Amino acid sequence: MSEENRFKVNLHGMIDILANHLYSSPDVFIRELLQNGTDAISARKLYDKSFKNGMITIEPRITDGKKTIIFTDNGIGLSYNEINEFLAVIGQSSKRDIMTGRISEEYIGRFGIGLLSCFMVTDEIRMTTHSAKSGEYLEWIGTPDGVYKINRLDSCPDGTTFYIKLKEDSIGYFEAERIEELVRYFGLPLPFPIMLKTENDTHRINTVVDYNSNMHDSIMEFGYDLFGIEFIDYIPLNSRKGLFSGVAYILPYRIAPTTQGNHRIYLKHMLLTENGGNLLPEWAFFLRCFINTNSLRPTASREDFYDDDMLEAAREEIGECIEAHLIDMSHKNPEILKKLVDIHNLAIKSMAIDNDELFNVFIDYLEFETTRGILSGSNLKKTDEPFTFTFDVDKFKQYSPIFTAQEKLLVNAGYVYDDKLMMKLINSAELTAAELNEDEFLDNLEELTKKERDEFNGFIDTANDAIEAFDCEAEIKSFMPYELTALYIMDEQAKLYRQIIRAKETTDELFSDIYAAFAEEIEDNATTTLVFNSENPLVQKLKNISGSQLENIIKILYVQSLLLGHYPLRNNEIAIMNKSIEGLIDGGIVK
Amino acid sequence: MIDGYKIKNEYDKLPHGKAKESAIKKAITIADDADDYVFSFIFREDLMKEDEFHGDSLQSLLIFPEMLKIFDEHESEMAEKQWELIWHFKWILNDASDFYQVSKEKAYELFDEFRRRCERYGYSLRPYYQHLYQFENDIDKKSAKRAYQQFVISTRDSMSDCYACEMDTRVGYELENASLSRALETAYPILSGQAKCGEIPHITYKKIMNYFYEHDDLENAEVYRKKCYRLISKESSFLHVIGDMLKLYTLTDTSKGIKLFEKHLDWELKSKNMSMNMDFDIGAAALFDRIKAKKKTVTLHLPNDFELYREDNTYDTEVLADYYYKKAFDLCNKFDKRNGNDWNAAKLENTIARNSDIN
Repeated sequence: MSEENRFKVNLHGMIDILANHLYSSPDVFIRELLQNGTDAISARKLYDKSFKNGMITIEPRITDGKKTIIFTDNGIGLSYNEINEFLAVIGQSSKRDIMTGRISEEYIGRFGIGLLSCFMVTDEIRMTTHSAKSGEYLEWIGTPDGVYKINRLDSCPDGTTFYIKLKEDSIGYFEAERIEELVRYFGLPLPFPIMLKTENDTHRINTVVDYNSNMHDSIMEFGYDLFGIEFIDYIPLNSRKGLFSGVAYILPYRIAPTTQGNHRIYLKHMLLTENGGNLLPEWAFFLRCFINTNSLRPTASREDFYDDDMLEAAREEIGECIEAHLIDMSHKNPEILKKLVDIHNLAIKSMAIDNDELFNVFIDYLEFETTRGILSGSNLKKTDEPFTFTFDVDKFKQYSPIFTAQEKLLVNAGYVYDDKLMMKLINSAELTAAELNEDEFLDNLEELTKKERDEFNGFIDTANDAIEAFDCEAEIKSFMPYELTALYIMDEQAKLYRQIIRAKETTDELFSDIYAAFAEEIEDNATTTLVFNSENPLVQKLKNISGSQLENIIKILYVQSLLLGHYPLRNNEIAIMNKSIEGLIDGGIVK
Repeated sequence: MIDGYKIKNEYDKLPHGKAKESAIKKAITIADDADDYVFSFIFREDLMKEDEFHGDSLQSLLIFPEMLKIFDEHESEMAEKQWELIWHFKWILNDASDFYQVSKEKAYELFDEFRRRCERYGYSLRPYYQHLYQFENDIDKKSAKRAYQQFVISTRDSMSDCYACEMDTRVGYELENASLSRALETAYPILSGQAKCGEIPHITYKKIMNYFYEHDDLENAEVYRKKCYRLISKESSFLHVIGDMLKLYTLTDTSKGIKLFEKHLDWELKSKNMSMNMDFDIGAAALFDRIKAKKKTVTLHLPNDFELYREDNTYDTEVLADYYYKKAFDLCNKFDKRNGNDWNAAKLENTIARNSDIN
């Protein structure tokens, strides 16, 4: 035998869940009221095609000695049956079509629990309503314990009015400025007036500038009002397919590329999210956007957009709007463009990598570190001499003195995005440039004559003995600057091999065995060379000494060269350097 | 003591890539020099994350034992880092699959060590079984199924992968062992945008794309390729996905395939992840095998460190097809040898065989 029972829902507990878990802050009661008001106005328009003057009025007023927010819409209103059906059953939305069970696309709210959010700020909701359909005048009073009553009235304003008597801990919402701020935040683009009525004044609080007009100053002012930032400029965002409209403001300061928040993105004129991650191109982090869309679908949690083809089309179009505007700016307003590049270097570089047209616009302004100071893309384009570039900042530092002394141009393409930009620049401008190849570099260093070489034979033999244990070979060449004693040269495979061996030496058996398999595979292809500079005064002196003293000095020079190349030292290298220094000191003391 | 958080804030601002990796390495040197073991550990965590998701996972494999060592040497002081340690260990389990150099025996030793640590610190074995399933799915389907069953019945805790990743694992299992409709039902929260993370829905899209490719529904495969590509087009850690897309384009649109190859070859040249390279090579081998039947040469703008680089940008399709076939064949055999089967080699042959069906 089975018995059918029903769950009992504790309304107090439910409100606690709403307040503390579902809603991020009690502020949302304003959003929910706006949403209900907006839907009521939409419903009246659907019902009465001649109705055009939708309006919401909000008035903070003292009633019965209590600070109260009176929220009125002149929408469809509710009949007695509708109140019983929708306000009494949580989860039942009044916007559902009774015949089809579907909710019209005109409506924003869908879940029928919005009104409960008011209980976060009040212990009693009073509502009066005049139904445009039934003509009834009604009053509904509900409390958080789930009790409500309905009274018939002789008269009340058209549409629906909520009286929210604020709890002591919520009286901050009584301030007109606070109401205005929240209404603008949640529903700024709503397409009908939202009036704020105070003792001395009634004024519209949701005015949106026409961002397609030429009123530059007004649009900039609108941006300031919205975000509190004095932007550099703005970019109108208009979808040809009617997917969105809005404006993107260019930030006057640098921002981390990972920052995605602080936009104002509205769905059907109500705030959906501040996070542009899903709708905006990822490189648009240098912008603050105000966007409204009526076509995109929200996720069930209404925190973001549903990821479908429409969203993708919108994202692409927003990207196109921004790109087209920047290209236009390069012709009409190059000074602003220069400012933009100076501040938002990273964003611009990231855009230029993937978009040839933008690359052409920006490359002349973008700057690279070189052995001749900072050079712009435009400077590099004009250079006739072949140049070398490296994707490794440490290599740039290591080789800069050599290139400078030899009056050759080395470009550092190791900073963020510079690697891809450099390749694009070389290909598009057909420049003669090559990546720094350490093996080739070594081959191109000046060889010594046979006679000179013979003078260093003993030195090189001792050097090879001293550094053999590090899988490194000694060489002697002549190169500038003469102050440089030696140069440690290592190919890519050797770098990896060195890293693996270093890791193998410092770990336990499990990982050590794993690394051994990696090391074995590349061991034979890894080459490292320590190239001594025959012109260096110290090296000149060293060729005249021999034995353990020379070996100790060579080991120290080996470690010093590694450090100059910013290579992390292996355990035995540190030990050997220490031992060599001790040996030299010891030798000095004995003498 | 160093001001580690200040250093961290600085490199956190950088976009992912070589420059960020280099900044974190510098931070590690600073912490190590100052004997600040807490930041030596924290900076390595960040380096692993950077390498694993935006760089080169071999680097990640080289860094992790250093984290382990720092942790073990200061275990009592670093108890609050237990979670981070085990979390990063999960990535190493993935790496075990990705490198044929890690023998089967050593991989199982890694899994054992992971399990021991989970038990010792009181974490559920759910991620252990999840990763074991993924590893064994390339080795022995029966063991993989057993591991999967254990994964789904183990308790979820803070060490479990995020909901989206776990759901994706289930989608993968169901595509292979149940049905498309069942997998799509499971995937609903992912496909509707409710469950997502840094790799999901990307990887789920890829799995569904591959399912349609395998079942010759190229139109639907293209739908998922498009969704997937938008998310992965800038992340070189999705190189293997590009390989799968090359396979699809081989059958649907070789011109687009060539463009895709040209755009992402650079990723392969820089990648040391053998499993990803293998997938890319299989895709490229199939693509050029198909093209060689139609064209003798193609014009490609390829990086000058490409082994077959030509200054005149003109490449013989037969040479490219042969080159990639050999590369793919070599890697497939290396993985198969490690895994004790011939599945990768068979995959290569089957992929290329589809060209003769279509030609």
